[in-house]
Amino acid sequence: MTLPKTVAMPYYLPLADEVELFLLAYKQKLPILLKGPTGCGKTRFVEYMCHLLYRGEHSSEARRLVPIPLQTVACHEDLSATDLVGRFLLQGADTTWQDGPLSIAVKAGSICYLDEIVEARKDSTVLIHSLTDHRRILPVDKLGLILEAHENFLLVISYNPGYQNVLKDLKPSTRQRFIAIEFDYPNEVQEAEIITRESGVDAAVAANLALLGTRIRRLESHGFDDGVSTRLLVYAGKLITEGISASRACDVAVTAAVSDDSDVQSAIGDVVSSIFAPS
Amino acid sequence: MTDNCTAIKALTYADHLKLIQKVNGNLAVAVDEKHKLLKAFIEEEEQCRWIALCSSLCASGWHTYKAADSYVEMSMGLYRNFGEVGLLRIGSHAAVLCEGALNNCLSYLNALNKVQSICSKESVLAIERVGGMLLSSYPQATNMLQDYYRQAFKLCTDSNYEAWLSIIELHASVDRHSLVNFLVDSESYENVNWCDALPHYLFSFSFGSKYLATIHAVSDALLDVLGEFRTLLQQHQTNEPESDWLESLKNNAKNFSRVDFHVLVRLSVNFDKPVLLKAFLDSAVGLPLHKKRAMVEWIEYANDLAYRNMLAAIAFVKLESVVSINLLKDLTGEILLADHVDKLQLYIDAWSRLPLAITPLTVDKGDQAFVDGLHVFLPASVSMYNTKQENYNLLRLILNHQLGLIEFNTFSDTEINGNYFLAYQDPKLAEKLFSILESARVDWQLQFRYAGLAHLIATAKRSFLEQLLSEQSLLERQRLVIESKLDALIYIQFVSLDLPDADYEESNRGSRFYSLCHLAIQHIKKIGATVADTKHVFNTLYAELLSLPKANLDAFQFVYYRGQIKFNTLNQHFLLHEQTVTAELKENLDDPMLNPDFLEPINATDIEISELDRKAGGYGESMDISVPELQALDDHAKIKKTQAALQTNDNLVGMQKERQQPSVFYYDEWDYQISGYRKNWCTLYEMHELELDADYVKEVLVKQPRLAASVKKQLQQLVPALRRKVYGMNDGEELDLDKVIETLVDRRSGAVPSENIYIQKLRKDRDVSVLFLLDMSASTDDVCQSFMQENTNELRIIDLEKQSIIFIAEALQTLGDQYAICGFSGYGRDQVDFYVCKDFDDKYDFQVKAKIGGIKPCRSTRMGPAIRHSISKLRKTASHTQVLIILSDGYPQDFDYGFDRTDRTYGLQDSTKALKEAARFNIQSFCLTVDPSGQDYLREMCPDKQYMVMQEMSQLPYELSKIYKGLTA
Repeated sequence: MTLPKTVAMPYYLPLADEVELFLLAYKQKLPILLKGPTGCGKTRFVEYMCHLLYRGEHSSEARRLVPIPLQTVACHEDLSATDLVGRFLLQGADTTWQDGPLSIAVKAGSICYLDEIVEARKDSTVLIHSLTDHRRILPVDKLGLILEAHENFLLVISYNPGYQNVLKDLKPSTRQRFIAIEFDYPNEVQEAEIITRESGVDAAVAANLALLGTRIRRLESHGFDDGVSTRLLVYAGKLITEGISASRACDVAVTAAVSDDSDVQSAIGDVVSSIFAPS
Repeated sequence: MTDNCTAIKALTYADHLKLIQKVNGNLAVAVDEKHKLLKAFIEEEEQCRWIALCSSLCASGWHTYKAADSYVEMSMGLYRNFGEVGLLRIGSHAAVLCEGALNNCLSYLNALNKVQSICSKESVLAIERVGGMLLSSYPQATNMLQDYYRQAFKLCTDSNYEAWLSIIELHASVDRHSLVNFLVDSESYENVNWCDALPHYLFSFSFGSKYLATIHAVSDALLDVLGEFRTLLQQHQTNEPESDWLESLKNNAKNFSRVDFHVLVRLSVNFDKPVLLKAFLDSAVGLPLHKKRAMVEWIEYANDLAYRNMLAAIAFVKLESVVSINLLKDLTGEILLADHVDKLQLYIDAWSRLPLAITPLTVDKGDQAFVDGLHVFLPASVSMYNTKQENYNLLRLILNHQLGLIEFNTFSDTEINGNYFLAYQDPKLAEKLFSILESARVDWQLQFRYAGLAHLIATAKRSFLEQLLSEQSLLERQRLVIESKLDALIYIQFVSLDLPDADYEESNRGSRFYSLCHLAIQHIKKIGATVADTKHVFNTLYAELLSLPKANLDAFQFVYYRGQIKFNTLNQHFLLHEQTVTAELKENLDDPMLNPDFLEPINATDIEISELDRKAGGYGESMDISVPELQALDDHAKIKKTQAALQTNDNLVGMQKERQQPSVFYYDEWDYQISGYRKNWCTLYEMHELELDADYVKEVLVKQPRLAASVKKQLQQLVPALRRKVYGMNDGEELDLDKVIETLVDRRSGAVPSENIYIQKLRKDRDVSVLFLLDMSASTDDVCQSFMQENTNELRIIDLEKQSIIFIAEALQTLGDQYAICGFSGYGRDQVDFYVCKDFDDKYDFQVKAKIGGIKPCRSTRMGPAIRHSISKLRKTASHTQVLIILSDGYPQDFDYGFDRTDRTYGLQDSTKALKEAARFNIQSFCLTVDPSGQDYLREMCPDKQYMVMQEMSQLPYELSKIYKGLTA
């Protein structure tokens, strides 16, 4: 997953001092850990920062030349060190080496973003240790090489503490190599602004969607780990923009999406019908 | 007597007079004087017979001259009214009565004397005929005869006295007791139509007398529905006690308003069978009688059912069967709070920051919703509209209005409490006026804030306005005749419901009150209006209302959906909440301007103390704080403690305290006789507090170490059940592509390739939850027969059950399965006890062991609800494999497990059904019994291979571990 060369500035509404922190961390080559619930804007924030540093007002000549400034890896339980570093491939009668996203980023000096890092296998999380301390190196065992990270390289990882269990928690030896920026859902006013911007609904509908988000998040302890994400509210807004009634849009984008528990769904349906006028 | 009579008749007038003279001189003078009057009208022979009757009466016995005296006194009147024949016949009848008892005769003559001028000859003749019959049948029953004559002559002018006499004749032909009762009853009942009653007496005395009692008790209420009542009587004459609908009608009439009683009787006509009618009348309180169409359809269903299964029909009419409750709910659109409470509780959690618990309104709490800061009291059912959706919307609106009071800070003004209105000249008026205005403000704020609710509220306002206007006489209200404080309140409430201007008469729009009211109310009908605005409007309008004439304000009714605002119960609850919520909000908003010290989590105890201090300052001394206020603080402290315990999970003591009160659960029960479930039939109490026996487990393990080790060894053979992918195996279901490529690369580069290129799905973890359910009924106290033969020490069945569980529990500690150990007993459907020795989350610790040791046999085996509760506990575990193992010693039985205590089928069928329910939820069940006759019924109760009858008791621990292995492997 990559950021295209000439992509428009992604929309991101700063909620606190996270932009400044990121810029300073980048300057000091400090790896960054982003913590926050699903759909609160972690990935969007990384894209935004990447644009700012490689294409935007904080970019430099060298960084503007990096063809792919962001390498994003969605981690999963089958993700191994090989997937990150690279592997030999069979091409006809030859074996050829294929760099993994981490190797590409290390070499090119781009940002490597490992999304939901705790989902990855242990060998892959250990792999990043040498990249995230003063050494900034990546050993490639199969090639017998040690790659030194480009000065523009930065490792960013994210995880959602809400639904991690004990088995999948981040090891302290990994965790303590990053500065951690905590994310949460924006407050109602900010969220309404985001929804308006992202979905194109008018301010009143966006305010109601944000209100719905706040109310549903109070139910976090009932059958779903995270409350409704800003992303889902934006989806609902997009459906409304396309002419679907607000209640139906919330039904498919929010109610059915956040829980399978029928009581929770009914309760959310009632909250929706209290907030939005019937069509 | 005949000889004596003939002898008396043979005497001359002078002889008779001498005889009378001998008994009573005054009487002789009176007879002679009366004779002088009579001889002008009657022949000599009749004169002789007359004096002979007088003489006979006089000579009949002790003091019978009194009877003769009465007769003589009445004689001229009797002659004038009934002629000489009547005169002499009455004398003869009196003489006959006098032969038996003087009082019989006197009663007859006195009663007759009172009505002789208005009583017909035929009536007297009929009364004498029946009286003669009674005398010959019951000659000793003097009191009864006296009652008879007294009542007979009282009724003789009534057009239906003949029917009354017929009833007397019927009674006389049967037994004296019923006759006496009838005479007592009929004397106390007035205005009874005996012609109506006669057919019922002809049917049976008991039915007739019940008819009479019913008519007497509810005659007024029946006035408007006499036609329907007569139809009922014609249709449902019965002697069966179980069909005694008249008794039910009489007894239950007091539970209905006059209007409802009429509806009840009208609906009753639809029943085909008296037994159903009785069931209906006994359980009609609470039925939506006013929804006629739904009720008629519901009754028709019951009638049809009665032809197929009478017991089912009776349960149906009594609203005991699930089918009945569901059908009625469907037909009426009624919704029950209980059916929606989980959903609405979630709704509250989403809507409000306060931990408010939904509580159904009870009779003592009235029928209007309110909130007290800890609870939201809501009506237990809503059936105002015809559809479920409309009723549910209304329920939600009722809830939202209460939540709105909190959201829009009705209770944030500490000044407004129960005492606030006492400062006003008319506190009741002040409180009602404030409630109307504040409710109206909250409604408008809800409408401004929430578009969805705005629609609901607008619809409800229209609907309630129509209803109120129709009740309050529309024309009067439209004329706007504000003649009293009550009128003013009603009018203000109309305004608060957005009554359109067009509904008022043109001339009234310019009136002073109208203008003032509308002008004032605009202050609270704007976005952002606060409780301070309400106070302002309230003060303006109160001053205006005070000048109006007084009226009974109790007649004022608040709009149903707005419920009521209980100012006297609000106080500490909301203040505490407010402080906590404010602190939370400040934390949440992460306001950089806030002092970090302030953001320290607020300690509940601190709040309590500060509240106490505040109260102490406000009321003078801290000792003045009332008990309810302290209770409120205590309640809050409890909530806080529970929350803290739940959050930190380290306050086990607190948790334990919470568990001390048994939780109550209601379960349906399957009744095979009605082929349906009886709704919420059993009340189950889940108890965590048991007697403790700390040493029992230790002793068992010390005594039988080999058995314990053997069971443990057997269970450890169980392999993990959850399959997971393992990469790099030398065999497996699919290829591990990475490994394959590595192998190929190695092979071509000359290295030794690895053969571990497969992915295999292996069982790595166990995902099992097992609930052991022990029968703790009294019969488990019996000694095990097989052990008696083998060992010198007696071992009871309960001990064997406990020991088996101990061995299993010890073994399971190493296996890591989730398991719970529970027991059940109880007495009757209202008291099923479910003891939890170890819950799924509990550790197998000292306390659990002591609980197992403390299990003691008691009472009955109502298995169905215990199984159902076990199912519900198992389902909460979300494990892949869920198992229920029941250890029992015999038939499921309880004193009311089925109508017939000796009928075992009911309990068996219910337990069978409960086990089928378990299967439906993919819960594997297994019944293990030590009852030698278990084969007979377990075959019916359990599916194949899911039961075992223990022949050799000593093998129970081994068998149990085998079963466990079989079910969970």
